[in-house]
Amino acid sequence: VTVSGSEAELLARVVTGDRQAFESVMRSHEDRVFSVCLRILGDRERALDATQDTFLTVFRKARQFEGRSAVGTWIYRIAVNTCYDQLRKTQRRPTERLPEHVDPSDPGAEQAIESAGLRPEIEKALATLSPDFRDVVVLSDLEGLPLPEVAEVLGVPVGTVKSRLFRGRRLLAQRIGNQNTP
Amino acid sequence: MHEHDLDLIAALADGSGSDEPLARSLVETCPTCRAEYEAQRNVIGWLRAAPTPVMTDLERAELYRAVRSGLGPARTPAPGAPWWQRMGYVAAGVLVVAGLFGVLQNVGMTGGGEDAAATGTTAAAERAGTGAPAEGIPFVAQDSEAAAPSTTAAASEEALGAADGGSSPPFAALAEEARSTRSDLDPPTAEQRDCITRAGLEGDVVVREVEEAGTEYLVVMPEDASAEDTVVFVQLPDCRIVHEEG
Repeated sequence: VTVSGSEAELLARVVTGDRQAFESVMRSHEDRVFSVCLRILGDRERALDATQDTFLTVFRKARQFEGRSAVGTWIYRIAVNTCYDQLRKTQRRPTERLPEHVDPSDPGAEQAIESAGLRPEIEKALATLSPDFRDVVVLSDLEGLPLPEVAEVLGVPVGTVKSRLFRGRRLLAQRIGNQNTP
Repeated sequence: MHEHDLDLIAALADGSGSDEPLARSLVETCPTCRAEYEAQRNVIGWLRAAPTPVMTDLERAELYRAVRSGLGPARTPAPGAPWWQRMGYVAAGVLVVAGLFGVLQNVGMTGGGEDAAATGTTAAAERAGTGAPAEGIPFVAQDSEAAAPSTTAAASEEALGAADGGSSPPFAALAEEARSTRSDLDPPTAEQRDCITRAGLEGDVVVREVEEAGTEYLVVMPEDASAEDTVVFVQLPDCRIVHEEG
């Protein structure tokens, strides 16, 4: 894995309290962080909270970035951990997903919710996966991260990622099949 | 069929396998293997075809507002900050050190060498930490507070991004002009609206572009604001707030 020189430099500036550098880093990763959080938490408002917490953590822990992975990988790891922290705090599993709330003052909300939606049966099946399986499916198949990067984000070997991914997909196929069975 | 075979087939389905000939032969000769292959292919297809969620403009604005709020005021000037901003920090630091020196003098710990000074500082800190009355500490606090306005002002300017060196544009005059011509201002274009959103400002604003000393700014105002309300300057092309007037 190569470290992005410019991003690593930006993060070094974040350590000194440079807000402009921080916003540059945030702009580069905010969409994917939000996407990952939404897939894991299943609710836009909670995903936004988790995205916010992720970037506050990035700012406060920038000093701890050692440059052994890409900045993005480090940020996604924080995002995944933040999402599960949030799930633990609320004692709410993703199977209890809240219905999406459309803010009437936000003209793009309805379209954003509709366009980002998985097929309902897939979303429902995804929510029933254990976190280990859901993480790899979200990061690999939905977010398109290469397997070695998924392994770095989750802190497990690539072989484990593959194994969880295959089994996660298999469970999804079975559960979608069951949903479709009358 | 063994678990190992299933993994081979799953890897074939997503193209990550290392033993493709063996996996293909399994799919061709074993009905269970073929079913597994088809199931994996279907799930991969469904998942990868899913659109990527995006934040709405309001969600993005809310994210930036919340993150900025969570970060609190900036404390360190950017490397490119003008000398007078840096001097503000230096002055604040000098005042704090002078105040601390005064504390140590008050409690009779100066002249006792580094150890004594260190002990006194620690003791004072311990008293402050336990909430017990700490002689001299309020003095430090007062000095710190006295220094705070200049520090905060400098930090605020830095946080707003006015740290690029050189002279500042005539923000006050530009703001006054924008207020007086509010009714003539055009609604933002899509590009301007995106920039405003990125700057963490509300969606409904009146905007114009101005250029000062080779730098372009968006002049942003709440559409239904009173004439006294704040005018915000957003620097282009990086869409960061550099000044608030009013």
